[in-house]
Amino acid sequence: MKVNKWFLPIAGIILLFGVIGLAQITGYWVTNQRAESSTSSVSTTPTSPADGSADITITGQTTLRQIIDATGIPLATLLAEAGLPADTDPEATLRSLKDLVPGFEPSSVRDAVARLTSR
Amino acid sequence: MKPEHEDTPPSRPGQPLPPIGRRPSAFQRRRMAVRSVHRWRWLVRIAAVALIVTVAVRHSRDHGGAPSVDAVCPFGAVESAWTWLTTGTALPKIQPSNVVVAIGLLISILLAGNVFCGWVCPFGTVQDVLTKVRTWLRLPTVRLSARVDRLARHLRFVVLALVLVQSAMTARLWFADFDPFVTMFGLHWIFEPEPTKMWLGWGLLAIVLIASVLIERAWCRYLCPLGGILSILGRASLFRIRRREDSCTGCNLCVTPCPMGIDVAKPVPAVSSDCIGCLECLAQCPTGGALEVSARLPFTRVNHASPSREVSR
Repeated sequence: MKVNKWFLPIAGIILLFGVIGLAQITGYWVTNQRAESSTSSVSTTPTSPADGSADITITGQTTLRQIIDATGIPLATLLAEAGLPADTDPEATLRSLKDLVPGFEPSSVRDAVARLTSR
Repeated sequence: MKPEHEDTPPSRPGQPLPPIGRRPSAFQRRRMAVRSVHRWRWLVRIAAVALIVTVAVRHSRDHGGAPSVDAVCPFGAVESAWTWLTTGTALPKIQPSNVVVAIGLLISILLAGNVFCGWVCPFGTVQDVLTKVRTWLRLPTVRLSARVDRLARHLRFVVLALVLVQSAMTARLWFADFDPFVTMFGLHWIFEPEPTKMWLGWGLLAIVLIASVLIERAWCRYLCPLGGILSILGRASLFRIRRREDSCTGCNLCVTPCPMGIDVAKPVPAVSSDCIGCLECLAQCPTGGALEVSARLPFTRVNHASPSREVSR
């Protein structure tokens, strides 16, 4: 069956982006699963937010300062819960801490925040 | 009877379009077709580059969790497949969006072939820009012999195997540290330059870009692991560019513009599965019907009497 030559790019692109669009409509388009779960656990049960809101999505670019400002968790408590040294710079991003602290993963801060805010 | 294209001179640079009401010559029609393909391909590819750059900039500037380039790459789902099958969890940085893009790509290829590489992939666009630059600068191109070219194309599968094994063994996106696409479009070299950590990725990117100046789409032809997978899947696509030997005059005009270096004039009946659906060959073909987009059941037998085993299925 012969078709017009433009069928190839038009069908190919429509199908590719059509599936993406369909996933967005149906809610399957999730680009940051961990952050979304962290956000929900942080925002639903804030401990004592400094500014009245605990909405924060924790990514590799997030600093410890941003987290404690958003959640109200004391720095020392957060560091202890996440297994970080007590003298850790609060302005450091989680990604940079991953390089500085052996064995550290940004997900441990997410988990620590989730645990602390749920208490 | 003379072929249609023999009625017109072989080349007339700068020839204006015909006046309204006058039927364009075969050469003019071909030229208009080529321009049309070029215009639309560049338009779509520039849009794709803009889209991926926007994603990267938003991710780098927005601490609120905008998706990263890793999260929209279809290859991520492939890298994570083994870990997901054996442990039930994906590799770090792999998101459901990777699976969605991979499924979309799979459906797209099974119906319309591998148009992703020719019309969407931003790194393919970068290589095409480098080819343009080489043309403007009138730099020489490197042509590998048919045998070396055929063997070198298998390097894609070597890279693919290496990436899959390393990803499974290290349980992380091992290739992300070297992937030229991520190195370039992740934009870490702008927002978070860390030369001590990134020198290897930058070095590989530089080598690939230099190679792409010398050989058109060198990364796609010889090293891209995703391209390797897509070339396999492309064999099963329903609609493909096919050549009708009874209509072809053997002028070889379709061979030169192919960015993947496929000998389009030889394969019977289907163009190589390395085809990226750019339509350059179809636009150049002066003989109506010699090259056409048509459907045939996938994986059916073909005539292996083709003179080019390299490009035939």
